[in-house]
Amino acid sequence: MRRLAAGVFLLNLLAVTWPVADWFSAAEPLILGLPPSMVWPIAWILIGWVTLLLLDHFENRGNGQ
Amino acid sequence: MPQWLLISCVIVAYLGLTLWVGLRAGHRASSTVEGFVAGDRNFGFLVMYFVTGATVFSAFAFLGGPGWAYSRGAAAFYILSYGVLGMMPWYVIGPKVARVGRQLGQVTQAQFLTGRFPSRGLSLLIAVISVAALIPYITLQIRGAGIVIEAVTEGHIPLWLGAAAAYGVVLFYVLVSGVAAVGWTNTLQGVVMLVIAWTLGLYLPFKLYGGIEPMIQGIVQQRPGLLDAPGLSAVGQAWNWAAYSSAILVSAIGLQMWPHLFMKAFTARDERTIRRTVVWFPSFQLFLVPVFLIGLAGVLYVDELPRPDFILPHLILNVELPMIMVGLFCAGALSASMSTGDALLHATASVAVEDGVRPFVPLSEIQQRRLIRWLILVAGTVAYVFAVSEGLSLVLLLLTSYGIIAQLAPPVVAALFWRRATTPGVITGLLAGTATTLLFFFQPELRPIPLHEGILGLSVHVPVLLAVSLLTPAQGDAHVQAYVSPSAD
Repeated sequence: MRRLAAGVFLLNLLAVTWPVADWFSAAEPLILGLPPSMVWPIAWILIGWVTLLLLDHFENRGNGQ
Repeated sequence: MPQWLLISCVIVAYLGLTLWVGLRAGHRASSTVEGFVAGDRNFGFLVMYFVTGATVFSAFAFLGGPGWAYSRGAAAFYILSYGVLGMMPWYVIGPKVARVGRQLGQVTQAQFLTGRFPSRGLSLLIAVISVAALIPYITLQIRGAGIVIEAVTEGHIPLWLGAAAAYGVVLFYVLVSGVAAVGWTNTLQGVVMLVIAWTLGLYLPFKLYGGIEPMIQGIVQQRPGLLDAPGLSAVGQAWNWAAYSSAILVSAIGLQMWPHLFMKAFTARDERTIRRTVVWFPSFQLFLVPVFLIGLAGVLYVDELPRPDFILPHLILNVELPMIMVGLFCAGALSASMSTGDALLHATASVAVEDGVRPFVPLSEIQQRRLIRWLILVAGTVAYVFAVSEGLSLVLLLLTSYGIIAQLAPPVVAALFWRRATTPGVITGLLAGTATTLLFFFQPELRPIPLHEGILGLSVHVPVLLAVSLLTPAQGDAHVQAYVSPSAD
């Protein structure tokens, strides 16, 4: 699970920096009323959060707690 | 009663509540150095969550965040991008640091590093770097508090007096209760910050534009380019992707290396608490969304504001808000400032004594505590003098600090994960990285590529650390083992 989380971490880094971030840099079309340039980093906060929740869930279960 | 006097009453009430919480917290901690600096290693999840969140998001985020969104548009979104990136590695590193710290009795970052890389010079170097980086940071927090109080009382309480009142309270509870006060006041302040940011961030777009979508549509039509990443530079021209991307990278690397955040690993009750704090940090990170919406609300409502950081107080005072909203805004802004300022003051004095003085002068427990208290007072006074003086470019100093603080990351990673790292390798790497960062900060025209100076510093730092470590004798296995594979408690 840690490897998967590390993979998501690297994807996150690539996604929010150049050149990948450039593909999601436009102000339109609006998504839920917000520009894609803002929605993209918000989406990665949520992806990071879910990844951490899953990582913690599996690690905690592995510890038998 | 005039409005400014009513608002002053709200401010006084809020400061009184904070002081009460801070002083009560002191009853729980022991009267040892470990109690004063590391809270007897007894912070639970709730306190650690708010300490981390409220400390990361300072007056700079609460006032500077809307200011960036207002003046630089999409450039501000880089701040959204680095928080989770900076925090995720702490899920693995944080518990390991805490375990080593508990086993070896460490309470500061330099103690942690010099435990693996023994050198009084390294301890002093880290103390100097830390204090030099922390003082401008404290100054910004104090100035932020003064600005807010001056603005909402329409100048009746000047900056110097507002800053003195807010930070008089902070100094008092930190001096009396140490890090226990930081923990419990940050919990109160964190709740206030979150509630106020979300309330204002949703209220202002609806009040001024009828909703978030009409507001964004209006900006896209009337200010084309503002919301296209990477946004605008400080002078209003298009920012470049190299600067935007490297700002994310250096901030993510440096985030947990700030001494006041790093040291909180030593305050946690157990490793599980640190992991849970990391897991739930993104929920605090989302606080930036309403903060940016507040700044964007000002784009079409306020013409060219000479100092964009004032956009939030400007909106508050010009949008005919109910009194309660103005008072709440004050509480939120003061919370953002004080929750970071108290942790910074406490860390500055602790680091100066534990890492800058104690390796050279033997001190008893009582002398250490007394000296830390004195230095909290000195650091607060120095920062206050800077805060009420005009003309010093503190934001510039702070931005450089991030580049220098990021240089502490390679030694930390090497201490925990690389058996072959040596003391000479770490010291030369740190010196080379810091010197490179400073060189490219003061001589930006010499930069080979337009990246943040901290990243350029790291690109020199890491190869030097690797090369010098490999060229010098390896450390003993038993010594390295305590860091690379610390035994379970």
